[in-house]
Amino acid sequence: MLILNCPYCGCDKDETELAAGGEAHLKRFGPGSSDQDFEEYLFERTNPKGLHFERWRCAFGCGKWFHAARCTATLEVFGTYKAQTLEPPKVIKDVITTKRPGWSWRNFS
Amino acid sequence: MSDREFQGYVNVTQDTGQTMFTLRATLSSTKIKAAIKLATGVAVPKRGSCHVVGGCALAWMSPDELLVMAPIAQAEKLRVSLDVALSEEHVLLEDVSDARAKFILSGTNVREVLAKLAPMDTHPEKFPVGSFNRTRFAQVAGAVFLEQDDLVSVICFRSVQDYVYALFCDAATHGSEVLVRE
Ligand SMILES: [Zn+2]
Repeated sequence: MLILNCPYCGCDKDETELAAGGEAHLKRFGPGSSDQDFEEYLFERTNPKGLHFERWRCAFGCGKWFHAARCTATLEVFGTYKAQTLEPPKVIKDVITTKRPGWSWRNFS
Repeated sequence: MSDREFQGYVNVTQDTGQTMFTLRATLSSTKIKAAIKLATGVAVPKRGSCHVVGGCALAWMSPDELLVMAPIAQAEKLRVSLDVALSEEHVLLEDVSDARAKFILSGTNVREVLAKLAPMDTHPEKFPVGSFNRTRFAQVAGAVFLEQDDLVSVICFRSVQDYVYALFCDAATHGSEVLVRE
């Protein structure tokens, strides 16, 4: 059972109230991009055992999309944050650094 | 559907006398907030809460959505005053009265009956009087407003009103108490 705090509602939401949206911080490659970029955008996903950044939707609540940083092995949640950002905010990164020193995920560390 | 009532260790009643509007607007705008207050007489609530003044209620649905509730007799007047007050703003106002249903739960154990059906924390510290929360009841979406410690409004889609009514009657049945209180 996963409980995530919706940063828009400001309260804890149960996994069954949320809709999973897969990996976060994807950069869209659309018309005019190379075949390889487009293929990676569509299909290439990391599937780490450990730290992961994901998109979730507050489906039964406010309906907004938000991001979560959590560990896929222990289910520990490092934090959630609003989706209007291109990278995890510093406060989230600091929490992860405290708990998983030397972490890296895609281009973030 | 006429009002119906169930007597259990918490009482369940349907309230068919409410009109409801969905209002989508930029709720962070002080100008829009002032216009809404002017039209309804109710201050725009903070997230996770609901304000009631003189029968008219404003409930926080999301960062850009309010649910406006009032007795049916006030519906027309309320609609017009919101239209006028927000005529210069980019907003959406829609009458959803026929799409929604409202039930009232009353009794000292309302928090327990809610907790049986919704995956939410109903402890007074997390869900104090005045709180409004969107969640699910068993398999369908719904919203809860804790008006008083022993009085809760439950709002759901009208298409699932029979299901929600049956759920709450079942959860409130005598003999199904979880915590025995004095
Ligand atoms: Zn939410």
